[in-house]
Amino acid sequence: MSQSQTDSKAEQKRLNPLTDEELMLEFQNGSTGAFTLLMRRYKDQVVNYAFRFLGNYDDAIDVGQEVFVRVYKYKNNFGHTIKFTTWLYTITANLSKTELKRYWRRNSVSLEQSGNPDSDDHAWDIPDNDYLPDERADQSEIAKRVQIALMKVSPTNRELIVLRDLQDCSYEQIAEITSLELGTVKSRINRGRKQLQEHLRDIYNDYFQIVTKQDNES
Amino acid sequence: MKTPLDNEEQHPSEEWAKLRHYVATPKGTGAVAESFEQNVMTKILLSSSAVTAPENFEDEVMRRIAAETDPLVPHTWDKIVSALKSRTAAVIGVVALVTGSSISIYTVSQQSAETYTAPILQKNEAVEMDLSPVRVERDTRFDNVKQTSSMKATRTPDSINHPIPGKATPKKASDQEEDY
Repeated sequence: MSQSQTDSKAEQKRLNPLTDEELMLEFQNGSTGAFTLLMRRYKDQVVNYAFRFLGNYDDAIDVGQEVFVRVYKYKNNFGHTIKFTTWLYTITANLSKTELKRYWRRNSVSLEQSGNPDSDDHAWDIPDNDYLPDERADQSEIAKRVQIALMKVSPTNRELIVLRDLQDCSYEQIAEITSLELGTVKSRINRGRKQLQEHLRDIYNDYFQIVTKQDNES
Repeated sequence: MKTPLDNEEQHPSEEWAKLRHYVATPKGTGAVAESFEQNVMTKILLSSSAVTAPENFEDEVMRRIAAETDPLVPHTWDKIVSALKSRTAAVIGVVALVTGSSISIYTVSQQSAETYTAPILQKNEAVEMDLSPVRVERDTRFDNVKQTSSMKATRTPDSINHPIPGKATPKKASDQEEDY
């Protein structure tokens, strides 16, 4: 084993028990190993978030890579006043939104339908009904159906649902990431869940035998 | 014996009956339970179908970072400087051209008309113009002819021999003949 490999292993052993914020501090002080470790910890979550939001695996990978490039480039912008994951998901959410806008422009979605594309309240209310799940994501049948249902939820609510139910972010953290009021976050998550449950009703009935009152009536 | 509820005053009011309907009906609790269960199922479904990053993800990120920080690739500042340099050279060229042509025009215009030769012609081929004054002699052929009074009388204006058709413009009352 070469000397550099031994050093690298020792460095990794030293960095492993550190928290995300401590790793960022190490990275800001010049340790590239800390960056690699952070990337290993969060690459799946970032790609998963982007995929859930965008619905396209290739775009999700691209966004995920760009997120870590930004983390590398703007490492000194992290001020240790917020959690690392909050900062990371803020970058991911912004890049995913930008990518979605690009996707809409590519597919000539009328911006008149969505109002001002830069306005958060109106631009994100178009569900991506034309979405088809990416075969390369290697998902099971049920996972595909879940993703299709998720893409039918308006992007405003989808973003929050993914952060809450998939990434396990707290309401406060989501409010920081999305720059929304805490009450707005809660109400939008609630609204989004209802939308999602509506689209997942078939799955509930098929796989979990949940018979709703409405079904009983019908 | 009357129990407390048998007393009319102890009976629940209509408002309470309505409130109770919303608070304690099986419909309300059922909806909450259903929503709770579905939320749990949604979470399970979402988390069980998570995608992962590909194996070459880290390598690709490092490649991108290297590409952006590669010293061989000219940085934005260098690009700006080189663009400015080429633009400055172009501006200097244009200024020199304009100044040079202005100087040549000024020089040409300062040359006297007598010594001016067209730049296309060689000096030995140039034809010098004779700019000396030309002598003009007075025509005296009709100096001795005198006009007689009869000749003056017979002279009529052309308008009498060749009148202009149509009525003459009537004179205004205000127009007075000038008294010479």
